[in-house]
Amino acid sequence: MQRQIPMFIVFVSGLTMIVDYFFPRVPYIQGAREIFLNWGRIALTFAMILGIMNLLMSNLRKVALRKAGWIYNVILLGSFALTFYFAVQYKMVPSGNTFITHKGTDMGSSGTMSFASKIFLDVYTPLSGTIFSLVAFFIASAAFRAFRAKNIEAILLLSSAIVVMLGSIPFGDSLFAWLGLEHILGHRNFSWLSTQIQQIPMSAAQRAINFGVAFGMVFMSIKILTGIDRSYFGGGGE
Amino acid sequence: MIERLQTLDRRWIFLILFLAVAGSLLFPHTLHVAVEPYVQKAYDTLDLLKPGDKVLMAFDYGPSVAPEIHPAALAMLRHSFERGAKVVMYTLWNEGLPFLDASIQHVAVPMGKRENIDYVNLGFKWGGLQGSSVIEGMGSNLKAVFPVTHEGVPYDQVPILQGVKGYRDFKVLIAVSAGSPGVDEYVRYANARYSIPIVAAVTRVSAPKEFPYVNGKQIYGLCSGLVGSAEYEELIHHPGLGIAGLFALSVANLVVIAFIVFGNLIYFWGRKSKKG
Amino acid sequence: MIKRGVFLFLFLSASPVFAGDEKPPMLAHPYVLVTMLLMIAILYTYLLTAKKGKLPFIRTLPGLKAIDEAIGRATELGKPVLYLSGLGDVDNIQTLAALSILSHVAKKAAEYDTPLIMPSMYSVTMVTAQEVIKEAHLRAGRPDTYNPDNVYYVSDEQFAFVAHTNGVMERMRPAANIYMGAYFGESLILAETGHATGAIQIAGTAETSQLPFFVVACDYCLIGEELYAASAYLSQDAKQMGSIKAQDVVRLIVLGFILVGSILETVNLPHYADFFQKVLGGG
Repeated sequence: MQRQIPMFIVFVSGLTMIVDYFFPRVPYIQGAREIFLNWGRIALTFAMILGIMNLLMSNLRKVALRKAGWIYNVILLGSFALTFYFAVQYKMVPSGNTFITHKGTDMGSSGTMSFASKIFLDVYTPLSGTIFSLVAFFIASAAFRAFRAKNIEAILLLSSAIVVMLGSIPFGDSLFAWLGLEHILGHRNFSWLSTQIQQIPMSAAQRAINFGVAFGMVFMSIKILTGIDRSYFGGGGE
Repeated sequence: MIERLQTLDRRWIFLILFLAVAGSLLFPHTLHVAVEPYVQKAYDTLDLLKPGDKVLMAFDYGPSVAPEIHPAALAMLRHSFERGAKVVMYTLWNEGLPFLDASIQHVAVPMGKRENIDYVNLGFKWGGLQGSSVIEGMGSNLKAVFPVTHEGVPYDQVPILQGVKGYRDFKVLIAVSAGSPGVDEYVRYANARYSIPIVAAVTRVSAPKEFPYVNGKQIYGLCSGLVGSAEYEELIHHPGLGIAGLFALSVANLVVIAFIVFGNLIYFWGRKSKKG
Repeated sequence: MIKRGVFLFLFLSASPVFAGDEKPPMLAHPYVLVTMLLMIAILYTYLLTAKKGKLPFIRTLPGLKAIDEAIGRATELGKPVLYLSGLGDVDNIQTLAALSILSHVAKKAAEYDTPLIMPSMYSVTMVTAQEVIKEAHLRAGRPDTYNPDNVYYVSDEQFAFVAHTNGVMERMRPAANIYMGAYFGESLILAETGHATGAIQIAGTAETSQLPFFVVACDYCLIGEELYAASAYLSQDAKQMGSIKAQDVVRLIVLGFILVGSILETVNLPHYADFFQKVLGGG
C-alpha cells in the first residue's frame, strides 16, 4: 500500500498532464491541471520550510555537541539570522526600483539601499563571484595536468584546445600574423580556425550526445510514469 | 628536479594566474576586438529592429556570472533602444532582479527612456520548478504570468503592453541566461512553438551546448562570455566592462596555454631522462 | 508516505502545459502524440520479450563497475563516501536518474557499513534521498546503521552549496566522491577539489558542456545517456533492460531519418527537411 498510493498519484497526475497537453478541450482538464500545479506550489513552499528546519537543526546539534569545526556552524547560524532579520524587516525585494538606487556608477558602491540589499550586493555577490572564479584557477591546474601529448588523440585534443583558446582572444590573431601563418591559410587566422572547430566537429559531437540524452530522458520519463522504474524513491527498481 | 616539476603544487599555478590577472587589471590595455560570426549574427538581428518594435528581454542570471554576461545585457539593451525599440524586461531568477534594475539605471534612464512607455520592468516570476510551464505560458498569455508590473501597475494600464498577448507580439526575445530556466527552455518552448527569434548571451562554459541551436537557426545569434560581451560592445561602439576585462582574460588564456606547453615540456623531458 | 506524495506532485507539476486565452485545438500536438505512442509501443514490445527471459545485452559501463570498488576502498580506509545528486531539483530527470543510482550506492555502502554523506541543494531532493537511503539500509538488512543526519539540506544557492561541499571534501576527506545528475558551472570546482584530496571520483551527467571537466578531473565518467541507462544496468531487472533495447531501436529509426535527410539535403531536395520543420515547428 505504501508503494501503490504514490504510484497511483504518479499515474493520475501524469495522465492529467498528458491529456491536457494533447487534448486541451477535454472538459475540466485544465482545472485538474491547475489543481495539481497549485498543490505542487504549496508543497514546495512547505518543503522550503523543511529544508530550513533541517539546516537549523543539524547546525544547532553540531554546535551543542561541540563537533569539530563547530565555529563554522555558529557563523552559518549567525549569518542566517542576520540576513533573515533584515530581509523581513526591510523587505528583501520591495516593489519598484528602490532595490538598488544607483547614484554612483558601480553596483553597490554608493546610493541609498536597504541593509538587506547591501548584504546581497556587498557580501553575497562578491562571495558568489569568488567561488565561480575558482573555475579559472582549476582550469589552469587541470590543463597543466591533463593536456599531455601522450598519443595521437591527445595531440589532437591539445592542439584544438590551444587553437580555440587563442582564437577567442585578440592576441591570437596577432600571433598568427607574426608567425606568418596567414600566408599559408590565405588570410585566415586563429579566430577562423577556432570557429571552424567549434561549428563543425564539436557541434556534431554535441548533437550526437544530445540525441542520446533526449532519448534517455524520454524513456526514463515513460518508465517513471508507467511505474517500471521506481528506484528513485527507494528500491523498487531492484 | 623533474619529479618535483611533474608533481608541481597547484598553488604555484594559482599564484601565477592570480598575479597575471591582477596585474593586467591594474595596468589595463585596450585591445582590438575581432567579432565572431555568432556575435555578428546577434547584432544583425537586433539591428533589423524598427522604431516601435517590441522586444522581450529576460535577465536569467545571478551575481556569479554577472561579470561575464551582464555587459552583454547592457550592450544589447542599449542597441535595442538605439534602434527605437520598446523593451519588456523580466527575470525568472530571483538573483536576476538587481541586474535588471541596474540595466534600467545604467542604460534606459541615461538614454531618457520612459518607464511603461519605452520599457517596462515586469519583475521576477519564479521560474524554478515550473520554469518550463512559465515559459510556455508566456507564449499565449503573458498577462496571466505577469498580471502586474514590478511597480505594481496592472498589466492593462501599461501603455507598452497594450495589445500584447504573447511571444508573437514581439520581434525578438533576448535571453541573457546562465542556466536553467534559461535559453534551452526558450528554444524548446518559445522558439519551437511560437517561432519567436531568439538572441542569447550565455557564459563561455555553457556556450558549446548552444552552438547546435545557432547552426540550426533556433537561436539567431549568440554572445558567449566576456569575449562575446566585448565584441557586442565593439559593434555598438560603446566600450564597457566587456572590453575593459578583455585584456585580463587574454592574459589569463595565455598563462593557461603557457602552462600546457610547460607541462608537455616536463612530460617529454621526463620520458627522455627515463629512456636515458 | 507524505514525502513521496509531495515529491511526485512536484515532479509532475513541472511538465509543460498548454495555457492561454486562445481557444485550443481539439488535438494540440498530433505528431508528438503519434511519436510518443510509437515509442511506448516499441517499449512494451521489448518489455514483453525481456519478461519472457530474453535479456538484451548491455555493454559494460566501467563507471558503474567502479562504484563497488570505490565503496570498497572507502571501507578499507575507514573513510566516508560522498554522493551528490547534482544541482537539479526533482523536476529534473537527471536528478531522478541520480536517485536511482543512489539506491544502489546506498545499499552497497550499508552492506559494507560505510557512512554515506549527501549534502543536498534542495529540500525535496533531501527528503527523497533520505527515503531512498533508508530503504537501501532496509534492503541491506542494516536498518540500525541508517543515519538521517548524513543527508542534509545546505542551500538553494549554487555557489553556497559548492562552497559547503568543497569544505566537506577538505575536512572529511571522503575516499570516494560520486557526482551524478545535472551539474553546471561548478563541476570543475567540485571535481578538482575532490582530485586534490585524493578521492576516487565517479561522475555522470547529461549536461554536455560539463562533461569535459568531469572527464579531466574524475577517474570514471558516465557520458550523457549512460546516466539514464545506469539504473537498468545496476538493477539487471528484465523490464528495465528491455527499455534500453527499445531505446536503441528508436535511436536507429531516428538515425535512419537523419541519414535520409542528409542525403536529400545534399542532393538539394529540401521538401523532406521542410516537412520536418513544419511538423516540429508546430510542436
